[in-house]
Amino acid sequence: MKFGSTLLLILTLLFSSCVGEQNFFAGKGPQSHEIIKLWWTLFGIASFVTVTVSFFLVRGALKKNRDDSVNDEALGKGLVYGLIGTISLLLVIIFSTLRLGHPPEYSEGNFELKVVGKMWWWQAHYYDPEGNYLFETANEIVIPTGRPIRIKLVSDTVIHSFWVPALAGKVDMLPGRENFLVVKADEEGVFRGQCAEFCGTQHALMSFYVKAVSEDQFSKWKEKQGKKYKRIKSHALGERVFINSGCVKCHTIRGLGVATDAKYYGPDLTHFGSRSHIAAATYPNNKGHLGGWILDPQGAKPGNYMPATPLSGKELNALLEFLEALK
Amino acid sequence: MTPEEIKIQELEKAWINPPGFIGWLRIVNQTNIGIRYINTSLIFFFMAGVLGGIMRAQLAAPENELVGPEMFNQIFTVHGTAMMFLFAIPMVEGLGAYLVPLMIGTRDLSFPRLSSFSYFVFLIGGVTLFGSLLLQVAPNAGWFNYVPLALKEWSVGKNIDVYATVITFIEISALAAAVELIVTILKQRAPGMSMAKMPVFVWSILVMAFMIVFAMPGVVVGSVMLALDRLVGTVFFDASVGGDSLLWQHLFWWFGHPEVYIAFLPAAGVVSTVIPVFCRRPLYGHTAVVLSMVAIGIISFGLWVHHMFTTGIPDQANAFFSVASAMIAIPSGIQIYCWIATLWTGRPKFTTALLWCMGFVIVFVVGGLTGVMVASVPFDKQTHDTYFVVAHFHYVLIGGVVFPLFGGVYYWWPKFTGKLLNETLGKWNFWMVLVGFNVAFFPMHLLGFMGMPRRIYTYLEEMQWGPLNLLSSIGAYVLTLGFLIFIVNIIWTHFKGEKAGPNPWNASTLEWYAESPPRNYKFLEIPQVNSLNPLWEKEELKPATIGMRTDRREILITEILTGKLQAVAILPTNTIWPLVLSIATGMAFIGSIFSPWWFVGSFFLVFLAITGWFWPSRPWDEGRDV
Repeated sequence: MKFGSTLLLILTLLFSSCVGEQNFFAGKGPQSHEIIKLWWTLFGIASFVTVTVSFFLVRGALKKNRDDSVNDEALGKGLVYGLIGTISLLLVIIFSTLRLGHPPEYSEGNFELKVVGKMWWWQAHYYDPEGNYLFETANEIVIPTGRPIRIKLVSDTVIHSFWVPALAGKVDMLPGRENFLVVKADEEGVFRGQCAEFCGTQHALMSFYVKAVSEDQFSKWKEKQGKKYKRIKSHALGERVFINSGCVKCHTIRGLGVATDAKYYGPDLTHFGSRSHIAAATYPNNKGHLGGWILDPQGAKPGNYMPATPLSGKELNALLEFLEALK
Repeated sequence: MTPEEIKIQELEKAWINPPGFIGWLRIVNQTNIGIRYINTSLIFFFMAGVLGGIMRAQLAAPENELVGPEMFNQIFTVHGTAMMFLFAIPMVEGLGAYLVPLMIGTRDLSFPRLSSFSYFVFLIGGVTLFGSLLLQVAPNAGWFNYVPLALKEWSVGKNIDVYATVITFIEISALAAAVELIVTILKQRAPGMSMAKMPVFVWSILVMAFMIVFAMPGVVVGSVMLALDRLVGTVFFDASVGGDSLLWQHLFWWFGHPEVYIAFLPAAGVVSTVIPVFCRRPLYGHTAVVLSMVAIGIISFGLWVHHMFTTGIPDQANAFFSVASAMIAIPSGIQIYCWIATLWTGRPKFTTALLWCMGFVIVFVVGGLTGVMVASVPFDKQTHDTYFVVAHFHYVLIGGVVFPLFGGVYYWWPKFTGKLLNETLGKWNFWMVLVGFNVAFFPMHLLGFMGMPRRIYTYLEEMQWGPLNLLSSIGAYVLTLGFLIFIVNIIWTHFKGEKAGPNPWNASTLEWYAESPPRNYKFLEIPQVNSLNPLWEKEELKPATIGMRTDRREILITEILTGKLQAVAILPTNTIWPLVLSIATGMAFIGSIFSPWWFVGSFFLVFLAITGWFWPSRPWDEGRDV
């Protein structure tokens, strides 16, 4: 009993240190739940094997009684039993896990969401159930709860890997190939994801958020995101700064009427103000961080493709007002 | 002088190492080359270890700004590349080059000039890699160097060209060493040493060498295609014009996974050698251990896709490689069983060498079990490319390769130098490394669960990865201190070390029959071998034959399976041509970083060097130096 409670205490201490937004024990979808269960099974087996091997190794080395009662023939039998045990254990592990972590039932064919790996951010395209293109957004993905959603994962740059630990295992995004991932969120919440395949200088901070909301809110959100920018008089200066300072070269605002250069493609900012974070889920979206980011993006994330934009205080303020108003 | 003294004098003369620096460059003797390999790879090990220390300093705290992303990427790439290509492979090859001829009772490797060549090529490659780091143009796309990140479009600088060049050097050097080890093991064993009587370490080197021969072509093809893509614009890997980004991964991991076992098998061979010696009994289950090593060698070619479970390969294929990956646990388990059985039934003497081997078993079991975990596809999809995997392969590579190799170094040091390493320092060395290692790498399992991906130069504070990373960094510095004790031990031993006789451990294999350190001719007479543990037999070893000439470098050639005496072969003596050829090769590859024309130009130099090498005069036939 005492041993059991000590063990429990140690385990609790060990795994309670697993915290944080990207903790895979905080699973919120059927796939990640299954993998957590799988982990505990594997952990149990591994602990048993480690303890057994260590025990025999240390006892074999230290034991005092060195008579010849254990002969090579007995050892041979032990080897055979050990082998049979190991093989059956392995077969059980492998075959019982092959089907785990598989997506919930879903209909083949259409996908509602396509995510493209960029250097170093995430571009998301939404489609309606019939497959018609709706709109584009970046670094913040909204999905409905309670039903599986099929995501197409591609890249037009280098290899990235799409990973939201709370929902499912990772799937790579490879140039020239199409991969699919079906995820299902059981409850509402915000889950952090991060690129898991080394993709260059700013790989470390290439992250994003997935927001799971009710079906109702999801359709409202989609409707809102599909809308184009409408000019607000009081933000005229900000809009001018956005167009004249070069922002528009990379960043689209649908409805602004100025085309971006396809060669330098940055996140779509049409509904920028509605996002909780900036710079690929690195800083909270507020005027302070945004201002710092615009003035010195290389200081914050060295090597990223956004150049610094020198602005006067008045211009910057107008730009910030304008961007934050893009709800 | 007695006839024996005359014989010794003649042998000394025939096998002489030329004096002076130029002479040093001309030496082809296998013990010299082996020691060079071991020393050089240990130096690279420490240098790559320092890079690991820098990474741990950078990651000790969130949003640390010690090194920026560009430098960090170079550092982790060079750390991995150096540890795998400049430490693991050359270290086991060096041990093989030094020990195999001694263990099988011959006087040198079969192609002495080739061994000199392969060493110099390895040295040039290693210096190029670390030199590029000093110039800040070191490879920066990881040791796995995935395309398209490594293609010209995304890596404009010379960094990746350095990578392609350096691994080409290592390919050449490793293939040369492998071919040589295979021929030596198969054809030069002392008369009477049939395959069944071959020491287990020699088996491990034989399997390793065959694995190199089969694995390296994958990365040879890959690196040539990569170099061509970058240099002259072929588009093997460019998906936008019909190439394939996944092809590189297949080619690389075809090599990259067996590579782990290329390093592990000789390390396991060391353990199978050291444990019985200090347990005072023959290895339990010798045949089972040998068959397990052969099985690992074969199975290891069937599991490269487990590095690619997340790339979207169909489930059916993943399932196959998943099963194959888990199957590795069976032959590994057999070996562990045999080691424990040997300890259980022996009378162990706890020397530093044995401690390293026992520490190895426990650490390796932990690493192996996390290996079985990541062999499971769904589990791997969560943990792939996270710090869980970093923890896993450091348990396997430090626990499974570095620990036994250090055990081997402690065990064979008296043979290398004639002096015994200090046991007290050795035990401090071992325990510090064991504790430091676990403190450094165990927390990484948990960091993986907390979602920390690999190869990141920094992380945000709110991820809460800070405390465990700090703990890991502290462990890393304890580990470093542990390894520094090894250096202290070497220095102490050099000045004050106890002299070792030919066989200080009372070991059973033939290398302990030679003097410590061995003479250049190794054995006065090639012995007749009648058992697996010849030095533990009651009878004295007898010469296998009489009448070998002592005025030239003669060795005995025997039959592959039975070890029956077949012929006498004459080996070449010291020569400068291997160095010239390796410099010419070096110019071709290093030059091609800058322009493909260097490759063309150096072709003529290579041609000249090979002509010199194969010049028809064979003065050594008459017992003369070149």
